[in-house]
Amino acid sequence: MLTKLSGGMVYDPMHGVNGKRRDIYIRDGRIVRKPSANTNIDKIIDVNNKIVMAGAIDIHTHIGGGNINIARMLVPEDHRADPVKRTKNTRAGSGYVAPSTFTTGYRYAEMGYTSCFEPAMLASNARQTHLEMADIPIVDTGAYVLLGNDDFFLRLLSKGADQQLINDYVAWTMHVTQAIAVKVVNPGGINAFKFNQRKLDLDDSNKYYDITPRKILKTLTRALHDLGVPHPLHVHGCNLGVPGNMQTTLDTMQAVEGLPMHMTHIQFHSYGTEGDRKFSSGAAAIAEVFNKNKNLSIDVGQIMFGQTITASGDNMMQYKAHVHAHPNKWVSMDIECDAGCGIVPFRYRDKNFVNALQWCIGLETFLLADDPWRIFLTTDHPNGGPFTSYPHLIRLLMDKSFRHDMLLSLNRHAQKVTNLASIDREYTLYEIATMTRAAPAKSLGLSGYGHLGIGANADITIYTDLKNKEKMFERPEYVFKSGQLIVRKGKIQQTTSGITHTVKPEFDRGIERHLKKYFDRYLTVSLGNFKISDDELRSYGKKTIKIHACQ
Amino acid sequence: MRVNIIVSYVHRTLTHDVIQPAQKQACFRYPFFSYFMAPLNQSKTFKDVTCPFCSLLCDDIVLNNQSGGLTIRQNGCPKAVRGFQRQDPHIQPTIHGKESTLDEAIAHAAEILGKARQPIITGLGTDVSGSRAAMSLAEITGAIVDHSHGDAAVKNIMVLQTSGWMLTTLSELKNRADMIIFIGTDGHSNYPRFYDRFVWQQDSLSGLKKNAREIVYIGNKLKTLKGISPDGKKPTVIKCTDESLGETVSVIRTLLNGNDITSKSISNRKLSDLKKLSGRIKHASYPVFVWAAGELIPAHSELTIHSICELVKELNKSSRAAGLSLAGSNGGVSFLNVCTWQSGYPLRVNYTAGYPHYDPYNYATTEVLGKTEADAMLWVSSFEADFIPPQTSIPTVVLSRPSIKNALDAEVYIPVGTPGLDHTGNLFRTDNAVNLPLKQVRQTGYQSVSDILSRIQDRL
Ligand code: SF4
Ligand SMILES: [Zn+2]
Repeated sequence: MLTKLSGGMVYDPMHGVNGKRRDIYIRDGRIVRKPSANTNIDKIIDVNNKIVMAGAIDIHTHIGGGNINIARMLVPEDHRADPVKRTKNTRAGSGYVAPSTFTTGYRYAEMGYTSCFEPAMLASNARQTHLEMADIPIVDTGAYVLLGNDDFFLRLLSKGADQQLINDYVAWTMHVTQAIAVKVVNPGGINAFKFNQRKLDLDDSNKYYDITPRKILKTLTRALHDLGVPHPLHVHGCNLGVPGNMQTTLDTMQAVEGLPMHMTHIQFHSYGTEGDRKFSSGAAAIAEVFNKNKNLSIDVGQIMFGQTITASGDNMMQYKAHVHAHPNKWVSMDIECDAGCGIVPFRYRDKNFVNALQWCIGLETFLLADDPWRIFLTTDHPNGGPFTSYPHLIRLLMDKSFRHDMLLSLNRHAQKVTNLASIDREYTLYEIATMTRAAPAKSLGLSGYGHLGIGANADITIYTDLKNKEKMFERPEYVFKSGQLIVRKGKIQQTTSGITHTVKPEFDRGIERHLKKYFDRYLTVSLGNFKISDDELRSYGKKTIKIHACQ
Repeated sequence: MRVNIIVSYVHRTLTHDVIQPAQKQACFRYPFFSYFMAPLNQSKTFKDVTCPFCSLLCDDIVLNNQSGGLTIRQNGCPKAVRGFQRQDPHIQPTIHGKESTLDEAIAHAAEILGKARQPIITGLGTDVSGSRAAMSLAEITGAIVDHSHGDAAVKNIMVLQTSGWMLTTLSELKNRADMIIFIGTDGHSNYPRFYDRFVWQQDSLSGLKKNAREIVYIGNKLKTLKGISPDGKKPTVIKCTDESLGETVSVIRTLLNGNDITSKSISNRKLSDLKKLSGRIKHASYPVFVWAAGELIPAHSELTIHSICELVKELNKSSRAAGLSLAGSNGGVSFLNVCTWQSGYPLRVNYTAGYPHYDPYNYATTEVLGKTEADAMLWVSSFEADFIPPQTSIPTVVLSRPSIKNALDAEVYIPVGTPGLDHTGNLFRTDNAVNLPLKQVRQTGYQSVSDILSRIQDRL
């Protein structure tokens, strides 16, 4: 079956195509060359003057695994307000800030997203993460495994293990948990909290292991670099949410000595202590360093006003945050000598100084960071707000006067201290396509995704060009997943099952000798049962495992 | 008719449902016989087998399959022996107690569930894929879903959904807990290997030594022998009635918060014991408070669990502490998780309106059956053969581990395989963090719950 998408305005930053009229041909799930004149075209879809982009990719969204499932369990009131009925081709479920798995898949697809990455998979909880992702229809998924707070790693470091052994352990963990990247959350801090430490700055020592976050960051960034894993270490830094943490963030940016590093939800790490309320924006200073250091990438973690729920592996900081829980209920867990989790419902209020300024800080970061190839659009779903607010966020970035109007409705004091009003930048469609398609695909090493070149997987989203960008991005005209028409005018036409993206770096299997001893002696599952085989993973429902190349 | 008469004879004469060969001949045909028995004298050993028979999911079992019969060679416990070594009878599906083919039974089950205005799908002793299939069927038939352990689970869930908690997991307990306080449970009556696997360990990641833990029991008639350390140190036992557990926890909470107790309802002696205990809790580096919702008396359990969880939160203001819930055997934790990620709610969801509607009280199995709101029931019990569904006059479809008893009473009965014995799968552990894979260790030809439910769904 050969399909032609005829006459669309194509935005394909991977190939430098900036709004050019191009026909696109799809066959067997891929984008193919223009066929010879006498080839029969089975279907022509007229997309004249419509905006054509690759399917969007969310590089950081909490959609599957123990943390988000506890979040779901915690807030029945959230679901009750947003019931989702079964239709002839979709399953029932519920929203809103912590939606059920099926609803997650449909809502992403309806917005033109075709791949989503769960950034906080605990190795000890990897099965649950993959099981849930298997129940997220349509979109492809992948997960970043957490390292850096597990006792095995910290023991290796404290004994001065050489980098090679660490690299083997990192690669082994990625294999057995079927991960595509590695994330560290509050490096060493989740572990330190188990020993009753309440704060761990970049150069503080984890009391028990005598290891600093700096050391952990250096070791893990080096490991991923050595292994050739495409996505660099995904870092949720120290001191999340603490006024004054911008200095830690600036120091962290320099801590890895030029190796690639991704700093996630940087908005939550960009706080100063200036002004009478001892809370100020660090966005400008951080953007300046970011712009200069090409080894860094960031995602923002924009906050959106309203009710949400925060779910993080960082239970050291989430424990602190529980005093702000709204409604007043929260969960914290220490998990399996591996990591932790902290779940705190929260309401961001536009009339509250701190929340209003958080909103400004996120937008300042977007607008001051000059390279859309290194900055990704996220709300850290659901931490800053649900992913369904992306169209609104895109409008804020693309429409200065809309942004300005919104700003004027916020807490007055926050309006005074932000420099947002003075920033005129408006993101272009090309830049949006970069930060939501090409750049995440490149960063994750997803070959064949995030672009519209010949041979690419035919994940394609087509919008009607509207002045109101929120409306435009909320409801694409067409969404194709691997060449299949999934969404037409915002309605799901059919559901498919996406695939699982992984990378599998090479390593010395000898590492299992160390691990076997450790598992038998200290842990409560056997080494063999810790591993998720390809067959097991496929049996969950997503039948294809794509292994992307290491570099 | 003949079949029926003989079946009822079998029913009366068998104490366990291990069928004697002669009786088997008399009442059931075995079309699968030749292929589902392993060749005689063939022996195979399986290592790292996960035991599905309680929510500790011990995964160190060494199992031998000798001509289809399983024997535990290493590790395990009496519960595991009962579960793995039970010789399941070779039986056929039945409709109204009469043998049928699997196809007929599936068609009849589909008819019952398809016709029903308000079916209930419950029991749900099954693995993750069985729970997923049950949810899918519930959506299509507009059913209520609940679990056999729902009454206990809901006590925990109510505490979670009103105030939350701070919990830990089994590996954390094993490596960090220098003090373990059992409240209303001894930890091992329903979780037999709890102490052997997690408490009396040689060493730990945090430097905690083998005999160094303090064990405390609060409750009535608890079996405290397991709490004696390998070097003979006795546990602390605080006796109190089941009804006063919550109050005792509240007293400890008050004392830990630095307040004094003026209540007359507590004896001076007990108060002094509790004061000493509070002092030690304050100085422990990682005390873990263990409860089992199913072992608390229902009228008081929610309050007791709530008190424990608030106590733990308060302790964490200055030092570390955590709770651990023992619950969710019979696939319970797995069902709660699947139900949550698919519907948004952990259990007791009704799909009649096309979307999940949650009511943790009114959609309890006993409530629904008692008020005759349901007009058909699907009961699933793939771990326990003789877990009999609740009495009801409405048509009942039963899927269970092969059971003569169940075969006789249900309108439609379909014997199913046991996850971790007859087919692979996975289950969640009591701590709600770990999920373990199950192996297939024998060939009986019985299909999994998810296979049968999908086939029923295909007929709708
Ligand atoms: S304690 Fe539970 S999981 Fe472990 S062997 Fe016994 S029944 Fe099985
Ligand atoms: Zn995040």
